[in-house]
Amino acid sequence: MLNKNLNQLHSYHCIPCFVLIISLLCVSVNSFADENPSITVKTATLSFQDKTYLLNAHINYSLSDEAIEALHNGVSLSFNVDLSIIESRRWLWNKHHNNLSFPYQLRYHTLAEIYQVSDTTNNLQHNFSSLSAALNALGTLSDIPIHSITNDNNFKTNASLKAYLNIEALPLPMRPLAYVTRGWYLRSNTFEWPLAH
Amino acid sequence: MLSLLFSLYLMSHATESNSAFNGLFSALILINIAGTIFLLGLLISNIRWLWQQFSTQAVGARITARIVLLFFAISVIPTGIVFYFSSQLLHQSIDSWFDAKIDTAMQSSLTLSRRSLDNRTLFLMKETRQLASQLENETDIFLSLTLAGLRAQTNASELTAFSKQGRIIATTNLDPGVLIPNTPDSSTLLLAKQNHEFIGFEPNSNKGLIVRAIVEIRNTNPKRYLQAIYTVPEDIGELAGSVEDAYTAYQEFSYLRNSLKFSFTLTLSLALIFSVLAASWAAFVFARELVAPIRQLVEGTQALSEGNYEKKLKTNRQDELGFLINSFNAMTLRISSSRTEANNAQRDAEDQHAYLETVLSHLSNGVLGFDLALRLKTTNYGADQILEHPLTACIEFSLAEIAIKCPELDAFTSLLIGNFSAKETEWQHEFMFHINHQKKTLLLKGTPLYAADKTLSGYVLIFDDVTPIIQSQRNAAWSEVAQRLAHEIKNPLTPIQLSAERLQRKLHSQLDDDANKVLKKSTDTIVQQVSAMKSMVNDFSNFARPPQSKPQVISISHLIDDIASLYQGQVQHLIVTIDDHLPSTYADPIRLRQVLINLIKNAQEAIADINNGEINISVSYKKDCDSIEICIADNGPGVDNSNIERIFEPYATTKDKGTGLGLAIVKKIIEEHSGTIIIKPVKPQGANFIIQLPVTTL
Repeated sequence: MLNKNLNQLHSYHCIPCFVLIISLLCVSVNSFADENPSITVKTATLSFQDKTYLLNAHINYSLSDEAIEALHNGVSLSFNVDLSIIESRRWLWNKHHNNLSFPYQLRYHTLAEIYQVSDTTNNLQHNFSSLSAALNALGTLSDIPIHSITNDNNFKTNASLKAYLNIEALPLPMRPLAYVTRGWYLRSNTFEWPLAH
Repeated sequence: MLSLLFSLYLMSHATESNSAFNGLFSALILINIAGTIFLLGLLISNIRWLWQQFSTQAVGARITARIVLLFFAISVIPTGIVFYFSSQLLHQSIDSWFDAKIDTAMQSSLTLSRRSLDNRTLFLMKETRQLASQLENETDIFLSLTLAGLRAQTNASELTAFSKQGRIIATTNLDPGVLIPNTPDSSTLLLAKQNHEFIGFEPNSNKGLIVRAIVEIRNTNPKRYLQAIYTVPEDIGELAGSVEDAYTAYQEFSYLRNSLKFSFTLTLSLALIFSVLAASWAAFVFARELVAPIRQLVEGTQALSEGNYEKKLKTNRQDELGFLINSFNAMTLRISSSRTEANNAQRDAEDQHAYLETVLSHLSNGVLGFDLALRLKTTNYGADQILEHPLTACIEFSLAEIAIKCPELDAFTSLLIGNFSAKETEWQHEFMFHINHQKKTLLLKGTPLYAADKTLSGYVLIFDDVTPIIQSQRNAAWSEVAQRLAHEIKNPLTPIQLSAERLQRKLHSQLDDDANKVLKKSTDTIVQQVSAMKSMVNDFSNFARPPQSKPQVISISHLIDDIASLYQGQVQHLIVTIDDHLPSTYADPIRLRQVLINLIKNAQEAIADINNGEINISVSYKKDCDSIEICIADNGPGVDNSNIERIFEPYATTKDKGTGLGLAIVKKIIEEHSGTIIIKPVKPQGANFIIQLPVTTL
């Protein structure tokens, strides 16, 4: 994700678009809580370059009031992005060849009043002065190498991607209520697309 | 239960940092809820079962309900009290952890940290502005060259120049190994562009703090920005980080206060519900265990009262209830064996009774049993046949009542009453008995009946119809007489007849006419009377020594037709009625012809002196006794009742002529054919001879 940010900064052509998105996010930041809290996978692709699949995806995170309140009260929010390679079978249930999970963490730094997005897989973190920027960065997956997937499969495969708030990573006393509170049920649709060999 | 305990343990350590089992908490809560639902289901099904037991008034339902209620009360009251006070204590304890003063202190310490850092950032901002001022009017190439020199003059760990769009123009870092500069995020860049400058501190990856300062470089075209990264001294960074950590932890803890209360309350509630449900379920199990043998015993006693003595109760218990069930089983076993013995005895008695009944029913003798009040208790087929009354219908009737019901038996019952009332010993009596125009001679033998304890319990009368015996004795006597008469009289008759004929022949010529007339008249009379005597002697002889019978298969209808045809012209009204399909029988046709001719001749003589005399001959087959019934009836003067009983005895004729042996011979022939003959008066006048011949075949 940090790499992605860097790439964005380096990419001159993306700058107007990026600024527009950031502007829109900033304008809508006050009304953010009014939006329906949800996670939506907008786009996702797996491109094969240099014998490695690279994951690119755009996920729209919209937090609920409960989640934002908890974040501002020192509670770290953990999000998981799950990638699966699925073999579609006509007469049997689909076979999952690869199940990969990319955990991310979002926390609020009270002293610095900034939002930290951590990639716990690569132990990287980045700071953002606004929640919208942090969520935008959280939802932008760029060229993440997936080494465990090979393209030597002869059968038809699909890739699926979904993202969700990991309630089990919340502090223990919060979990029972989180499981039954709508605001804490943040889970995206499963975005599925055919995997190109 | 273990899951519940583990959940409670986890909740007790909820405020601590990551526990190894934290991940299991939700699963444990789910398991507990599932267990609670399962127990609730069990309890509901048990309550339904108990309700059904109550509805059907089942045995043990009340005891079960009492035990369950007792257990419920015992479990609910203390656990409810503990739950209430624990909940209160927990809530108060959690609330006591937070204090307004601590809140203020924490906020103040955070503000203090910020102020302290703000002073430093203001200084660093000025320094950055100065650096930016040195880069005014510089081209991008110059910027790249001068940045390194500028960084050496300051405390900045990194200097970066970038465009308005965020594109990096030039960068320099204290650490030459760092190739990628620490770029601002989009919102920071936007703020910097809006305000022409930006400063803020943020944590770095080493848990320390850095200050990011961004200043617009004036007089550059296009617009350029300078970012300076300053590392906050380690001691200050640690202090600020410590304050931040503490504040964040306290803030999180404060935020989790309600969640903590809810989770503790939830876990305690689960513990309470689980305990109550488990206690209630255990109460049901215990109550069932306790009530099961009681129910068994009740079912056993009910079965016993319904006569099921084979009922066995199963138990593996070794306690007092098990002892009770075993005792019950022993009792039923004893009752069952006693009952079996009683049944066997009863069966033996019934067999004996059936045996006696069979014997009595097949006895030709009559047997009557009476109790002490002379009520009829037992009778048999033989008694009914001899007395010609169905005494079976008079069971439980006293002798006096039987006499009223059957007036013909009045003399018989009077005799019994007299003898049984007078004597308690055996007695014997010969009794002349008139019934249905027949005279019977009965030989009665009465005996008292004693019970097992030698007390008098009733009377038994055994009697037999000895009329045939007497009749046969009489017939034998008559045969003897007839034989002697034939022998003694027949011998002198021929000399008498011959002498009379010789007298007439010899003296005929010697006497005058008058004397001849007297002689002829006398000798004719002698010859005539001798002939009559010969005829009578022959009859006696026939009666005494009948000719040898020659039976053969004959048709009675043909025989009757033959004989009737002989009398068709002689009798004014002779009506013959013969059933169709009359069976053939095995008999002597000559002897039967003699019988029928004799009877028809009798009837003919009976109607000789009356107008409209009529003879009816009917023959029919009696299926019930498999015999042929021949009736020869006339409308003559009939037979006097006083003579009707002796009509078949020898020499019992009412006619002026004849030897009086005709009907006796008829009866003898019929009896030789194993048949019977009776005479019944016909109303308004006349007599009807009824012959019954059994249908016999070879």
